Amino acid sequence: MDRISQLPEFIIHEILSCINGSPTELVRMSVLSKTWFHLTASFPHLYFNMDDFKSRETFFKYIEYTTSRFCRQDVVTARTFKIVTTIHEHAELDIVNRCLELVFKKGVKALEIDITRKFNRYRLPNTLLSVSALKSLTICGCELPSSFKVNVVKFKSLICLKLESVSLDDEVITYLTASCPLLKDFHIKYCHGFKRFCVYRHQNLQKVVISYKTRVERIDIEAPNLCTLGVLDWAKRGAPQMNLASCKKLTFVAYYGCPLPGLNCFTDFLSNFPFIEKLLLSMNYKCNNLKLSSPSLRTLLLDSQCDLEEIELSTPNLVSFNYLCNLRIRKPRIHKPWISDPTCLNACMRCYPNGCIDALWFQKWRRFLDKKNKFKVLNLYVHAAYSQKFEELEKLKALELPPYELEHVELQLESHEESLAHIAFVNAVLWCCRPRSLTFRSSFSFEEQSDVVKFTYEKLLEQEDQGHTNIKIVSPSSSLLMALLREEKAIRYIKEE
Amino acid sequence: MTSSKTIVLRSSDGATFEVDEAVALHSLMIKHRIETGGADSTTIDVPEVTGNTLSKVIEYCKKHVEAPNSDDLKSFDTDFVKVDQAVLCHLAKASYYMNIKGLLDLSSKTIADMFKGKTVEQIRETFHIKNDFTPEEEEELRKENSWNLFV
Repeated sequence: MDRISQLPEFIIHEILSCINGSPTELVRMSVLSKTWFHLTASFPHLYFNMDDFKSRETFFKYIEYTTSRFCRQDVVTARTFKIVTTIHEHAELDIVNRCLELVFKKGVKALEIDITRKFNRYRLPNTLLSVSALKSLTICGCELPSSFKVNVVKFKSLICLKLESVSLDDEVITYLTASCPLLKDFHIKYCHGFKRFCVYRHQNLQKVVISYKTRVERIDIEAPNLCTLGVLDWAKRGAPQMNLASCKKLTFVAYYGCPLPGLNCFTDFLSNFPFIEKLLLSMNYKCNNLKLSSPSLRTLLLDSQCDLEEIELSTPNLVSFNYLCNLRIRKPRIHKPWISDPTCLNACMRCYPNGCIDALWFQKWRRFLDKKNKFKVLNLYVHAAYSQKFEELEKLKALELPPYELEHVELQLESHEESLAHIAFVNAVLWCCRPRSLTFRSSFSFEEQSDVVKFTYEKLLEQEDQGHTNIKIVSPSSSLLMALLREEKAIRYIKEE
Repeated sequence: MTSSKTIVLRSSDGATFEVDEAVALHSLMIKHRIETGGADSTTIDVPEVTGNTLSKVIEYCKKHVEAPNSDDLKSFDTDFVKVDQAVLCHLAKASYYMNIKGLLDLSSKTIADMFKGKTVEQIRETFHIKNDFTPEEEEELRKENSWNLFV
């Protein structure tokens, strides 16, 4: 019995979406029966990628056939139309223009056009501007329609706009955003021709990302609902002048590049964002003096080669500091704190140091903790590739400062098997701090009787000469924990009375 | 402590199933019914789904609500759809009516995988699809799709 053909059209289209990457399979579906012919013809997600085809001629024939067949159906609009291709000759250009015109006339909700053309960039047809059903528009490598400033842009429903490698000037940016009142998400990448990014009185804009290689002088945004801003300066010519004072909801800022050199460069930079709560600062160079001051900042992610000695934080409300050190080896798994762990409410510092972790690093770390940061929870994640340095940690015994008092320390050592390095590592950490509880995670499982487990226990006990003389070890084998733990490769020590 | 409120779901053939509210809410359709139904919504009718299928749907929701991060979720899903075509189609339809995106995606993908790599004849055979084109129509299609051979 043919049950598949009887499924609701929506489900059939979901199934076709799973096959959408393979034109051959889709064509095969269309010749199964008359029902399937109509189902495929009215499938509202049209996707054309040059890479899926061996022959250019076949590819362009396929685009023409599928698009015109779709536009002949009774379907109201296309949900998605995506085309990724190059154009080499006039016949190909004609086909692309014809098909785009057909689709624009029919209406489309999500449009993605990525066209690379030799010598002369592809210019989009003027009818694009009248596609009022458009909710999402991505353009890559093309020129905007020639009647762009003359004709009124009718993108009344546009929510998401992404422009990559499109030539824009200052006025185009301002005009575009003014023509899209519902716009929430605006992303420009590698676009050239503009020096200023100015958006005035936009009620709905929530997220702006500007990624550029040529110098941008000024960013001026008046958007009361803007909450996220990304500024990615690949040319690293210094941060643009910014005016975002009216964006009272701007709480998340991500910046890649380097602000202009100078003593107070970062303080000035941060003063552009009076309401900032989360900052991602990524700098691919060694910064000599990083002074960050913000009364509202709660989360800081710092990805740079900046030494802990060079960092000064005047951030009284900082709850979380992720110190990333340009970690290249792999993205660290950032574990969520244990569900019942009350210490996750305390100020937390997470370090992902790279190969520089040696005795000197630990000393700098210890001194950093003394700065008025009041961190109560520390998380130290180290990749095993760096563990050969741990033997040198013997030098730490010369540390003058007493161990720093903490609520909780979490150690993650990426390694496949236990070794002496682990003991040296724990030793170094416990020279620097005295935690009330400690969790040790690793890729290997802990045995109750293993050396590192015993060593850690003894070392923790050594730290306590009064009060907490009992140390409870909570290991994966405890059934109470199984419900809370998602991974079993962790062991926890809790000091209690 | 988590609320232990339960909801009763009634299938098209009168079978009833008592489930935790949290599990039932995995279906956005049921969530909507509860939110708009008022205080008396402890029994919810699901007339589009039979008892057998509803029982399986509940099994899926239970696993995904109670242990969403477990390591064996993937293998659970894989085994869950190792069923015959009829059951698979019923699951797809139920997930559509009950608005359970995860299950709809899972069943759609499973059916899609059954099409992959097969010739037109093989697909027709697998799914018992009748070829209702006339010879002239087939010829027309073949001509238009002849370029298909070069894809």
